[in-house]
Amino acid sequence: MTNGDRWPNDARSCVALAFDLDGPTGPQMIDGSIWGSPRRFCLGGYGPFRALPRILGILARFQLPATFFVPAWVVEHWPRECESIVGHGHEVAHHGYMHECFWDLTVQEQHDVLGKSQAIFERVLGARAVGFRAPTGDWHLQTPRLLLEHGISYSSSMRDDDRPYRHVINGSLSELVEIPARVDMDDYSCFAYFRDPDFPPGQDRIASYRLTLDNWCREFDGFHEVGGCFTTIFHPEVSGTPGRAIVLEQLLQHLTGQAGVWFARGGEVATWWRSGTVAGGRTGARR
Amino acid sequence: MSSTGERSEGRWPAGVRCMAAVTVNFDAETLLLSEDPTFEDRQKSLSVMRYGARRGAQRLLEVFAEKDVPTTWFLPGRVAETYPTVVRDIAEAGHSIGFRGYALERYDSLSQQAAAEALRRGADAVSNVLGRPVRGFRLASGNWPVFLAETLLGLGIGWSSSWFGEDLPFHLPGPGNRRLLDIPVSYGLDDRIAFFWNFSPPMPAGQSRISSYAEALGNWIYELEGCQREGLCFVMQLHPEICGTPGRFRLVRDLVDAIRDSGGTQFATCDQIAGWWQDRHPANDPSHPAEVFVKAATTIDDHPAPPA
Repeated sequence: MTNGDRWPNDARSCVALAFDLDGPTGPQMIDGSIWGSPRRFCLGGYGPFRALPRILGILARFQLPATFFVPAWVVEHWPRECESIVGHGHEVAHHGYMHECFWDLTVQEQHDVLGKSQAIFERVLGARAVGFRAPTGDWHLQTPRLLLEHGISYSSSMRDDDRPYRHVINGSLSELVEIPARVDMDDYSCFAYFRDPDFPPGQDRIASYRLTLDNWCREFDGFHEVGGCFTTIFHPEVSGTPGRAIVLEQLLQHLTGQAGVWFARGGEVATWWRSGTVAGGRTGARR
Repeated sequence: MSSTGERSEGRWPAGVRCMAAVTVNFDAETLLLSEDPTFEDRQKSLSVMRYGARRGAQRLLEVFAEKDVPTTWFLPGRVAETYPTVVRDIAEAGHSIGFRGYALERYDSLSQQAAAEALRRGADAVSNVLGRPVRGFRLASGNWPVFLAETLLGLGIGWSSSWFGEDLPFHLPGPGNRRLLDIPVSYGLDDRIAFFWNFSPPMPAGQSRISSYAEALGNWIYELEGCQREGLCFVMQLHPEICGTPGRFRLVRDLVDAIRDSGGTQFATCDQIAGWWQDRHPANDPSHPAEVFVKAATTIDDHPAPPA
């Protein structure tokens, strides 16, 4: 197949590496129970404190750009670490304030979370974010409009394609680009494990690192063949352990061994896609 | 900010690049009884765990003797009372011994006073068999309640090996200047999570298939290599009834060989690691999650109080 001008420089496929730096945010912080559970807090804090510098080091060695979706609470409490994401040339984007599921929020509450988070990004990192990944995925029908109102121009929350598209809002094609992600590339589906509360709920085993790497490489090979946009939902506190960081390195080795790949931050992918001459982006409108 | 690998100079004794603590959780029947007291009458189920005391512990001791590996064992007081001979064998072979309460209590569901009583009873039972005070602690299940570090310090406990979220020892959040040291563990380095399986009641809850032995060992060796690269602390959790079997003790031997074959990694007991770390690393980095927790928790007014 030919991709025409789908990707810059006649690249066949695009890789938008992405990490969700959740830290200790999530349901237990939202309901306050984390403050009675310091050990659980530290399990999440491993992400910004230990795993992030390790991952930044690996990305630097491969000279690859990435996008970090960071709850603003993490930016507030690990400012130095989050500044270093930007300092390494990566993009920091929205992921709620405490990893709120937008599905659970009223329109006003979504407004408040986005506004508060943008203010923190501006104060700590010097710039408002242009990207957004919905914590846990689901949002409201009104959310895309709210994102545009808060200066956000792309999302990476949906699952319904293997390349970007533009969201349709009130029947019209909008400026909001979607970079769909897939749970196959979410490290929760293979490596995340906690007890009390249990994840996975059935206490399934931790997958083989070696065979997970093989899955991930096959995923990329398929995306490359069809000329898609391959992104990841990697969580530093999950896949940034000493051993899993080696798996990440081996994946990046595989990715960079392939010619014709455009590695980009989410914002670059969105800008490129929006600039397509075909109405609705480079492959036309969706939905 | 720098990665852990870049600042490893002086972290460990001269000539040591990486520290490896092979640890054994010797819970015997208490493991099942703490999860569900009705197990008391279920002889087959109890016998699964009794295997560790009857056979598995000795087999692990043989591997450690053959390979000359110092290890650290953790047991609840009840196991010390039930199997004093096995416990003395472990101690006489030169291994370090810590405790896990009296009957693997869930301290997050106890008041501070009830927790302190269970801990004292457990520490006394283990100390009685050893003939000297026990110094180390490992949490069994449940969450770590905020008061626990203070309670353990009050009992004369010097270190714990219970927390997650670190690749190196660190000081736990606690009151005042006295901080309990922890030598952290991880879910990825635990043979129970990889292999334990029980028919009825179902354990693990979803009765997921037993992991591939080769792949589980492969995962552990990935983590070992990662720890060696950055000069970290590799802490493995084993269980006599799980990895002391004929089919799995050789995985332990292979893992021990992998640790030894990689130059610069030293086996140590948790007591040795705690002693080294306490003296040379008196404080956590200000960005350490334990410090961030303390700072953030003091600004939150409405966090739930521990159960009364």
